[in-house]
Amino acid sequence: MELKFYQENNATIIEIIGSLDTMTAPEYEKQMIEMIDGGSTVFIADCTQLDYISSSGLRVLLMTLKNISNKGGKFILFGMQEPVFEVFKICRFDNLFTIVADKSAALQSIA
Amino acid sequence: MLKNRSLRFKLSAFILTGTILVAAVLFSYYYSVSRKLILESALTNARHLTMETVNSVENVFRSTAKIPENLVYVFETGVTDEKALYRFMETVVKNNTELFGSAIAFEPGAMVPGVERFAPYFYKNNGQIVYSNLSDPAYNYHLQDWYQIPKELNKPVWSEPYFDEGGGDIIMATYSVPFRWPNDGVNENKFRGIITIDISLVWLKQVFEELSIYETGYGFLLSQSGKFLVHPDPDNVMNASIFDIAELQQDEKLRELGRKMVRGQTGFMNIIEPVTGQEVYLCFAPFPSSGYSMGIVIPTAELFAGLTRLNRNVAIIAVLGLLALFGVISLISGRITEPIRRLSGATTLIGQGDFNAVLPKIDTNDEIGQLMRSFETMQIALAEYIENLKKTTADKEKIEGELRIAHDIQMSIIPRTFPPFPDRSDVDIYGILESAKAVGGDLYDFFLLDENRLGAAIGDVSGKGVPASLFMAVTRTLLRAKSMNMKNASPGKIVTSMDIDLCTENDASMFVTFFYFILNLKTGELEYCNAGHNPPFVLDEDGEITAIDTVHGFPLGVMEAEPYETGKIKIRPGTRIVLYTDGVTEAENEARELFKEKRLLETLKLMKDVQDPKEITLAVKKAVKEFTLEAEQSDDLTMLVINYLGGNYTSK
Repeated sequence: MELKFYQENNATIIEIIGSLDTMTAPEYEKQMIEMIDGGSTVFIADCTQLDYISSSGLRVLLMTLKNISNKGGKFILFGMQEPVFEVFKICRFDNLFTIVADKSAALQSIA
Repeated sequence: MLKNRSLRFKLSAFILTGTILVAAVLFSYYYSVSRKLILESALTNARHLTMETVNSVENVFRSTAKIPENLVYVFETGVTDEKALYRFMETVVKNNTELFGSAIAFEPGAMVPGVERFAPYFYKNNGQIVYSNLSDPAYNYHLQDWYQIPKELNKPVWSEPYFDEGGGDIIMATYSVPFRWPNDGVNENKFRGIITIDISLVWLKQVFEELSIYETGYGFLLSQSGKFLVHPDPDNVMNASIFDIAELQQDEKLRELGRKMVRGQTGFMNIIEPVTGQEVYLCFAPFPSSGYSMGIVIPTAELFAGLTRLNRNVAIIAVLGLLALFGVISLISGRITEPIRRLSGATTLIGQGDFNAVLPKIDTNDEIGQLMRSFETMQIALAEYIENLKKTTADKEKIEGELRIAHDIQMSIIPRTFPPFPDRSDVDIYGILESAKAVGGDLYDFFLLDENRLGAAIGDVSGKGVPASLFMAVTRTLLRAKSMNMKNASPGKIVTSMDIDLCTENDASMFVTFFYFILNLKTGELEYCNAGHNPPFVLDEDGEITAIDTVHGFPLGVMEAEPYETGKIKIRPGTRIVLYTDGVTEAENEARELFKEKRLLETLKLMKDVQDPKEITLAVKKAVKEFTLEAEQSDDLTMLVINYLGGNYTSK
């Protein structure tokens, strides 16, 4: 897994590339905590290149969501592939997270 | 070959080989040049010696040849008187010691008109001068070679040497000179006859004997026809020719030499001496006046005797020098490699595990000193590393031991005795839980709430390992506690109550997907609550497969939200409920493909007529294993299959 961060319209965009599972979740958790502690509050996760997510991956996304929400921020996901979205749907996380189709929709929702 | 030898041996061997090669090249060059120089100088000397001999012998022949010229002079001064001629001839024979005899043979009527043959001959016999006339008609000197040949050639001729039997068996040769007169330029100058002198060739033998040619070298003399006139072997003299010997020995080279010599050529040849069989160098040259040819024989071995002696001495010095060099090299290389040998000994000890082996002390700062210091550093680092490794290994073993115990504890909190209710005919259950790690986050559980109601659950904690296993244990404990406390509560209520407890102080954001149902074994009524878990499958009594796909909310521990609701279905006897975690559908093979629900459904279809929950469970497990093959198990693999048989509860 690889994470790429960049700023756009006051939001921090995170490209999650590869697989978010037990092996890679701790690395995601570490980098995200650094970003959140750095003061950013509005995050948009680009899931177009996220190939697979396990329950460990869901846990760290959930933790990100809780952390950002506690600080009054926003965490939006977009571009989710069908198999990943299936996992979200099984545990109803599609109701928990704000998931939109593409980046422009994501940017619109924080405007 | 050298691979197994010591450094000292190799060093010595290489240096010595190099030295020997250089010495050998130098020596062979020096030897071939010396040999060439010696040969050149020897051949030059031989030529000089030959030419000297030729010159001195020629002098004798030339002075002898003057005698007949003087006799001719008699006629030129007008002495035509017979008596005066006799006197003059007698005086000449008497006064010339080398002269054995002399004859003047005239053409018919040249001296005395009308006399056919006139040839006075004076010769020495026992110190007396004897007169004889060769005019015997039977002898007819006009037809003899010594008369005919010079006459025809019109020039002086030396005869083939011969033994004079009357004159005391000595080798002689006759010199015949044609003469003409008058020489006054007025009258016709006509051929008048032949003047001969007989001279002994005994002195030639002495000339050759006095030649000093190395140890056994010698000179020899051949006549015009190749006959030996002088030779160290007296048997050859006047008896054999060089061609006879060549014929006898079948020696073509010797024959060629003979031909060259008889033709009057000068030169060198390298031949095999017929008597001794040794290789010899031969220098030959002719006597121009007589047509004889002389040769000088130099045995090659003697020619190079000096060089051979020198070679032997050089070889001895070389061997002694090389031995000394070997000693020195051996000593030096021994000194150089000695610390390496000691180091090698110490490293062998270290290699065997003795990290405190004492390394040899080296004070030098050369490569060996540096090697030794590097080795010291390595030894210390190695010892530290091994010490750390031991400690780490011990720690790891301790943790692994603890994890094994944790695994046993975890396994002991889920029911694992099958069949669980051997005395009941209305339900049968089988379950498996195989953790990817020592401890896992999956769980299943079942229990009888009362005589007719069965509670059963399956769950999957996010993540793996120890944190997940602790969360799993908490979940299972809560389930048992809530179910026992609220025996008549619906699954939705139980799950909601569990969620509230699990959300409290859940900083790690751990959560558990959870499916819980209560089955009335009498009526087949099934109440369930799904908290974000994979929908279970139902195989009804006809083999139809459906999913219980209603999900009532988030997994437990995510957040306190609306209370979970309860779903209801009714099943008939012969229905099998298959609960599983994503360890089944998301099992990964080496190509990173997932097993997926599709494959699970295909497997279940094959099992539609199978009632035994164990058989169904193991069939799915087998299909998963056949799919993943060698790939490492990525997630906990958990299944729980309930076979509802229905009918009245009867104790078996």
